[in-house]
Amino acid sequence: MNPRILVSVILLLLFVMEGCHRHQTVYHWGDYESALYQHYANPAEVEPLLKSLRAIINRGERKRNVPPGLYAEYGYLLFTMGRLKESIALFAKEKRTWPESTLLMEKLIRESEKRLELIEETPNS
Amino acid sequence: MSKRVRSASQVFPAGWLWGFCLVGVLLAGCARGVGVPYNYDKIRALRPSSILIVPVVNQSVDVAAPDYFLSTASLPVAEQGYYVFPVNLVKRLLEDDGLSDAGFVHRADPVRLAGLFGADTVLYIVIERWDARYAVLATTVTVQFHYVLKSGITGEELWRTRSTMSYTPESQSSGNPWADLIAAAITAAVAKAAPNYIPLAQAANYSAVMDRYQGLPPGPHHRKYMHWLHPVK
Repeated sequence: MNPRILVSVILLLLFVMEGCHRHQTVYHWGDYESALYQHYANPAEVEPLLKSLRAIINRGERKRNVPPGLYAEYGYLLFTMGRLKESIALFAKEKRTWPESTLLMEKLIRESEKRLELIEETPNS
Repeated sequence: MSKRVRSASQVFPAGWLWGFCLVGVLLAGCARGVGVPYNYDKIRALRPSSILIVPVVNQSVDVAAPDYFLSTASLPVAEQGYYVFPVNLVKRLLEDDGLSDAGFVHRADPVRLAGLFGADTVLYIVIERWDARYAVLATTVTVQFHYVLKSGITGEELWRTRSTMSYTPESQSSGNPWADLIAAAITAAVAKAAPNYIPLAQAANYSAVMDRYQGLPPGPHHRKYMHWLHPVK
C-alpha cells in the first residue's frame, strides 16, 4: 500500500474520532429526548415515556450515570398516576443523588405523603 | 478513493498534503467557536450549581415549537455540569399553579421563581425562529433561539447568547433541468409535510451552551470545573 494513502487514512480516522469524541455524553440519556418529544406530540400517551425513563434508570444505575432530574421526572409521572409509594422512593433517590434538588424533592415527597394519607383514611367503598 | 488521493498528491507536493491534514485537525479542534471570551465574573462570583429551565416563549408561528424545543433543552446544560431541574416536571408544576403562560413566567420575578424550586439560576429561552422557507429550488429550515441566564438570588443577568442553525437539503444536479426541478419540488414537499427541526434545535443548543468563548462555563459536575474556577496562571 502506498504509504501516503496509509497516512491519509490514519489522519482521516483521527479526524473522524475527534468528531465523535465531542458527542460522547457523560450521562446515559438513552432515548429521553425523543420519548419526551413523542409525549408532547401525543400527550395522552404516557406509557412510552415511562418505559424510556425506566430503561435509562436501569441502565444508568449499573454505570452510575443516570442524568440529573430523571429519577424525579419518572417519579412525577408515577405521582400523576397515583402510584405514590413508588414516586416517594424516586423523589428520595433524586434528592440523595442530587442535593441541588432537595427543596423541590421535599415538597414533592410531602405532597405525595399527604395524598397517600388521604387515600388510606378514606374507607374502601 | 485511492485514485483521488493519488491525483491529489500529484497536484500538491507531499508536504502540502500533510499541511492540509494538519489544518483540518486543528480546525476540528477549534470548531466550537472563536472570538472574545464572555465576561463570566458574575457566574464566577455566584458559582451556581443548578439551573431551572422554564417553559420557552415562542415568537415563531409554529404553536408546537415550545414543547418540542423543551425536549432538547436539558441535555447540553446537564452535560456542561449543572443540575438541571426536570423540564417536564417543572412545566407541569407551573401549569398546576396557573403559570401555563410562558410569557408570564418570563416576566415574573426570577428570585421568587427560583425560590419555588430551590434553584440557583433560571434559564429563559425564547424561540425567535422555527420555520421553513420554501423556494422553487430548495427549502431552508431555520431555528434561532435567545438564551438568558438570571441569578435566583439577586435576579441579575449572568449570561446571554443567541444561536441560529439553518439547513438546506443538498440538491445535486442530475444534469437535466426538468429532473432537478421535480426533485426540488419533492424535497420541498417532504420538508413542508414534516420539516425536521429537532436535529437543528439540538445543534443550536449544543453550540450555544458548549461554545468555548461565548458558551456556558463548566458547572460543578463537570470534570473541568475546578480548572475553570482556578485557572493555572
